[in-house]
Amino acid sequence: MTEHVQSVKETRRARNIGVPLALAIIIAAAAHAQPQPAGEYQIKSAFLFNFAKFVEWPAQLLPRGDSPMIIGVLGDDPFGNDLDDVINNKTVNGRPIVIKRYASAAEIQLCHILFISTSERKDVPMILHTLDGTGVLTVSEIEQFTQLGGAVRFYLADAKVRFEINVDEADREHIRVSSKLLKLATIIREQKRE
Amino acid sequence: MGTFRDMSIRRKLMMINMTTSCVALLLAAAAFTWYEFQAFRGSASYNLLSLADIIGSNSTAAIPFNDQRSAEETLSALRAEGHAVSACIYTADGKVFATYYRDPGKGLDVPPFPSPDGFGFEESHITIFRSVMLDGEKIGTVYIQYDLTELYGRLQQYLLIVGVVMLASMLAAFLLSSALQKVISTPVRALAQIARSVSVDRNYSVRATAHSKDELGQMINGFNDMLTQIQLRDSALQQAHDELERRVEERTQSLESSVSLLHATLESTADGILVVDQHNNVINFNGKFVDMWRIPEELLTSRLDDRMLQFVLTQLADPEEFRRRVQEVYSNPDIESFDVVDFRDGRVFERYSHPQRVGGVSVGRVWSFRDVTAQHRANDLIREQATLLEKARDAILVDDADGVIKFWNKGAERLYGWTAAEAIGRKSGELLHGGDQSATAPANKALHERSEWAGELEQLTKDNREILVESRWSLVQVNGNPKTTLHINTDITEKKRLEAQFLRVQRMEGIGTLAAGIAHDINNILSPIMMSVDLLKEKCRDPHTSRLLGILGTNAQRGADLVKQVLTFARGVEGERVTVQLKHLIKEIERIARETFPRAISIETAVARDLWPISGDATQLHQVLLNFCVNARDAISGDGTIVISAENVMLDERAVLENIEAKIGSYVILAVSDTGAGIPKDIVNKIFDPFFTTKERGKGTGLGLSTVIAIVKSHGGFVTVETEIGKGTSFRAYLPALAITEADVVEQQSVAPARGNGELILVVDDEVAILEMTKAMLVNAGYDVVMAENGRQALTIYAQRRDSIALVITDIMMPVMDGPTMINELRKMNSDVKVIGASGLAGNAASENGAQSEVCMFLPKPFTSEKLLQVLHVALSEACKGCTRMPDDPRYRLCRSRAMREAE
Repeated sequence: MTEHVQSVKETRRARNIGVPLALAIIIAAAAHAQPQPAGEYQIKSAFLFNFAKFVEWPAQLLPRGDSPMIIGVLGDDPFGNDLDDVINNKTVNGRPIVIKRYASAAEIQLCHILFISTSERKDVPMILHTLDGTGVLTVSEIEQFTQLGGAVRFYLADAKVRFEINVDEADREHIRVSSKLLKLATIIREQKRE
Repeated sequence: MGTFRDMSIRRKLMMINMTTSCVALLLAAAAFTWYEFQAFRGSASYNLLSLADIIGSNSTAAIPFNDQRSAEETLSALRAEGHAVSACIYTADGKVFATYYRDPGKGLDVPPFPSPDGFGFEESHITIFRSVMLDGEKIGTVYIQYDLTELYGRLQQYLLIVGVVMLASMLAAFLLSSALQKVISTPVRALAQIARSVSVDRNYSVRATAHSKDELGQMINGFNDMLTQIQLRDSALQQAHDELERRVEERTQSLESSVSLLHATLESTADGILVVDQHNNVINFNGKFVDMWRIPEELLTSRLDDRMLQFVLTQLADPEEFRRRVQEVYSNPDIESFDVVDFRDGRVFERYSHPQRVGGVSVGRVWSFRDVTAQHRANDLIREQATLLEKARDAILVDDADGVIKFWNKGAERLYGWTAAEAIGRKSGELLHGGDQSATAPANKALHERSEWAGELEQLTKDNREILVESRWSLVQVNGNPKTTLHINTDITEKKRLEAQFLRVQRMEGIGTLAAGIAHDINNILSPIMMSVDLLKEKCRDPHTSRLLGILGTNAQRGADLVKQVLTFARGVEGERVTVQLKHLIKEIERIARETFPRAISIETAVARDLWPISGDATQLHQVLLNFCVNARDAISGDGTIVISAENVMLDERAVLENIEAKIGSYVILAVSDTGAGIPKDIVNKIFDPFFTTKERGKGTGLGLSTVIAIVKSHGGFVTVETEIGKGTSFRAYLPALAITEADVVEQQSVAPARGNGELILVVDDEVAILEMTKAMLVNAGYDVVMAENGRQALTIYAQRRDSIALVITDIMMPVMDGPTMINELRKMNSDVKVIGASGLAGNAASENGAQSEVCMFLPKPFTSEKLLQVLHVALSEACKGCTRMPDDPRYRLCRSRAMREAE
């Protein structure tokens, strides 16, 4: 006899005992967590959050073990509540995550991941210039963002959200991106463009 | 196992060797195989865990970023590890995220849902579920199925090698052990050969040869030693056997001798003896048994025990009891028994039985019978005689040479108060004479000389009472001891006392007659003297002579008074007889005594509350009481107490026996007790004699108590005295109570306020108030009443209703027609009419009026309801029937006396 079978048997026994209760729980769970095909920005919110786990910032940006990780949104916020729902008091390596929304690049003081809305398309070169050397991981869905010197750009391929990473920009900002993340991303190098 | 046990030692050794080595080898092989299997499985599990961890780690980014392609790439790295059959990654919410199959299309689908972390061992696979963790959070699960086919291949190979090695080892072990077992089996077989020859040929002289010094060598040496010992033992046994033969011979002889002794004993004993075995079959009996039970010859030779028992039973008085007893004894084989068997013809046997035991087990029983008929008859005779002795009224006792009591019959118990148990063993002299040897000395002397004596003895009882017995002593020969004495004592105390009393009465009568004669003569002498003195006084004018005549007259008068007093006791006293309540008398005496006696003497009275009245002369009784009191006073010197008491008493036959003057009936005891000096014993019998006095000459006449006796006697009573020196004296005068019988006493106690039962009563009285009152009382008590206001009216009513009127209550003094006239008229109509007279006049006055003789009862006015009902009840009772018609009828007197008593 295998241990699997044994555990299944035990589970069955347990179910036999409390079928009505189990049924009630299943129905309730189903009603609560409807599959509701995850929206694009919901996925993107999750990606923003997960980037934090695979990226290392220079030590001066996170001086203490419990210094908060700041995720900023510049320009018109496309996420609605999605970003707040995803973050929802979660932590990364024990750090709290703070979401900040900026109207202009000038407001930014300390930020680790900055999502630049498509509403700022025209000002991208200027914004990137402003943020040069501040250690901010810039993310956007604007075309040519990585070519313009941005770090990460979301794109859709086969109806799936994908992303490309400008490793040169990351190096410039002294941000170390995990090889595991890089393996999933389309790598962009500026030399190629030049 | 049986077959193994019977195998030759050589085969056994081979078998043991082979079994031991095979089992050892098999256990070793199994252990190695098991270890190999476990080790392989352990390393496989470890590999699997590493693989799962690597894949999990490499997928930490692919899962959250939902990159299935990247995850599958990671999984495909398993292809390098040829044993992973399938694998997959699940997302945190349990969905299959990426899969891997070594041989796609071969069916082995991955589980649709992840299980908790852990290994799963299946027939040919191990599976693992391993969580993928990112930043302390579970983001997915890795599943790998690992093929174990290789493990089993290796295990098969391993088992093959083990099998080959075992076979080779066993072959080697077999060859070795078959060569080596000879070291042990050869000498053992040689020894067995010799043992067989010893047992078959009984030749204990052969010996085995020992080739070594090990246990086998020791065993062979031991065997040889044993043979030597057996040789020795054999010859000793032969000797013992011869000795035994000789002893059996001896024992047989002695047994024969004891059997003959037993037989002789059986036949010579006086008892009948019967021996039975444990099945109760007759084993043996003696001639005496046959004689005693009168068993006929043919029954003896038949040997039929049942017939014998039947024959025995026919002779018995109670065959059932005999049979029951035999059964009881037979059902308890270990008990001894003794009982007595009664025969129809009066013979009596004692029957004993004793179990015959061999080694503590009962194997039979010996019965013995002893004819005790003669003894029983003798015993019966003795018992009979003893019963007669016990029944004798006389005290019969036997004492031995030392005066120790040996026998004490019921008569003695009755007379002396000591029971036989108390008396036997004590000395008769101490018990009966208080140790005073002088009392019995003449008797003992006579006994010594003539072997018998008869006479009177004063003896003491248990309660220290002195009694006088007429005693007859005789020496009895018991067991050749001539010093045993039989005493037969008859109590004559009472007889002697009555004799003395009788003599005293006779003496008194004699003295009385004498005194009366003398007194009469003296009276005749004194009369002319006194008449002459009177005449001379009238004629004499000389004062001196007149004075002398006065002295003469006074002394003549004293002489006349004395003579009168002498006549009082001598002729008896004549006095009036009226109903006297002694309590009034006692009160009067008490008053006199208190006033005149010294203060040091206290006077007490004790009068019974329901004291019966007596009929007598109050003045004389006053004299009696005063005389007692004066004597009491004189007996007390200094402080003391006088108690005057009166109580009712019923004298029965016994009291009459104690005093010749007493009669059966009711008495009132008038008693005076003092705490004075008491009267010495030697004069107590004389105190009632006339002219006997202890007082100084001139102080007492010696006639006081004799006058008392005369007075009490004239009342039909008697006087007793009880005295003790230093303690005091009690005088008791027994006076017959007024016509009280026992029945009256009972009636008085139980029927106090009697009620009527609807009887019709005619009430006659001229005072309407009294009439109404009487009616109310009677109706209240259950009577019916008709009323009349005068005699004439009463006669009219009585004439109309004479049959229903039960009784007439009438006033005596009435206008129109008075009571007596009316009663006479009533009697003319009905001679049996019952009438109760009621009057305000006292009894005597009413009597003088002539009414009392006419009425059934008299009711003094004013009367209470209770008195009315009592008198009415008595008058209505049967005893009063026709009472007025026959004044001589005793019932008349009874009825009258009752009425008078109640009227008091």
